[in-house]
Amino acid sequence: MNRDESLRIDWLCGQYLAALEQLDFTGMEKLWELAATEPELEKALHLLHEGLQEEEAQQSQNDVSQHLSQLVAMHLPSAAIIPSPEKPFTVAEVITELLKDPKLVSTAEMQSFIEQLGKSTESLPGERAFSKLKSWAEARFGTASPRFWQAFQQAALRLDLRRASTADYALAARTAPREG
Amino acid sequence: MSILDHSAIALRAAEALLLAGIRIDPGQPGPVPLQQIFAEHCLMHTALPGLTRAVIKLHLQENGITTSDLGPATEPLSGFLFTAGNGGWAYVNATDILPRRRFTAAHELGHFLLHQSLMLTSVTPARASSKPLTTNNSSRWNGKLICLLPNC
Repeated sequence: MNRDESLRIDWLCGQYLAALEQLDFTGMEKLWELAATEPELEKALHLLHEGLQEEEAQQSQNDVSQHLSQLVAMHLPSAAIIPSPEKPFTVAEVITELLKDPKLVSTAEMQSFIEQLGKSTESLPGERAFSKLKSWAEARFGTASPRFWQAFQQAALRLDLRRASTADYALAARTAPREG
Repeated sequence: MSILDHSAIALRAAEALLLAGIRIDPGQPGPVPLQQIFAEHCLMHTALPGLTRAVIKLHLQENGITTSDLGPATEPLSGFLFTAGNGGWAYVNATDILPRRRFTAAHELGHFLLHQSLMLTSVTPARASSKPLTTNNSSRWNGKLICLLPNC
């Protein structure tokens, strides 16, 4: 298949996606009729559907997972949700942890800001140092008070500790001086 | 590195200040912003009254962190450091006076910065019988660290 044919198939796939989104069954049918005479187009349309199904399944899994996490946080406040270790935490997961201390949601403005972050499925960066985490978050979600970002960082650190301590942890103690 | 190596401690203290974005001004004495240093090093810190391992274990548990044996449960403590992954949680005794709490906090920070691998007891939950280390005799190095943090 040369470049022009490849571009044409891409363009037809775009047309098919547009028809699918608009529920234009006539348009979709015409493209399938054309695909019946063009094996390359037929293959591309099948691949497109496979991709859409995978995306839908992933989205559905994310929705269920997020909904379940919210229910657990709401009804079992003492429960700790430990996400699978290979996945980075999302902003929404940090907000769920942060909201275990409701004192932070002190104003309507703050409530709205937290709601916005609570819907974000964006993964946290690996960096947890306060200034870097704050810069990263403010670049995406806008500014908030240092106190809020401090609570955000601490919520992220609690999630990190919870996850990491299931494998290994270390400790040191300093005894109190004896009286007298 | 020897744990009492003065130049290594000085270097680590300078790095900690640099990372926290703290500039030293000898002409402006005042308290060291410990919170800022802790936050830049992914350390949380909490003051709990009547600090013992049992109190700490309960606090960690309330925060979803399950631990096995942390050592003698009721022994009175001035400070405690719990680390996992890249972060940690430092505890001080809330019933101690403020200067002592700050000294203890700096001591725990010193553990975290200087020699986690050398001085801390590592516990894998599956083999949780390790005896935690008690460091009440190690005030020499933490005193040095504290003196190297300005304006304390």
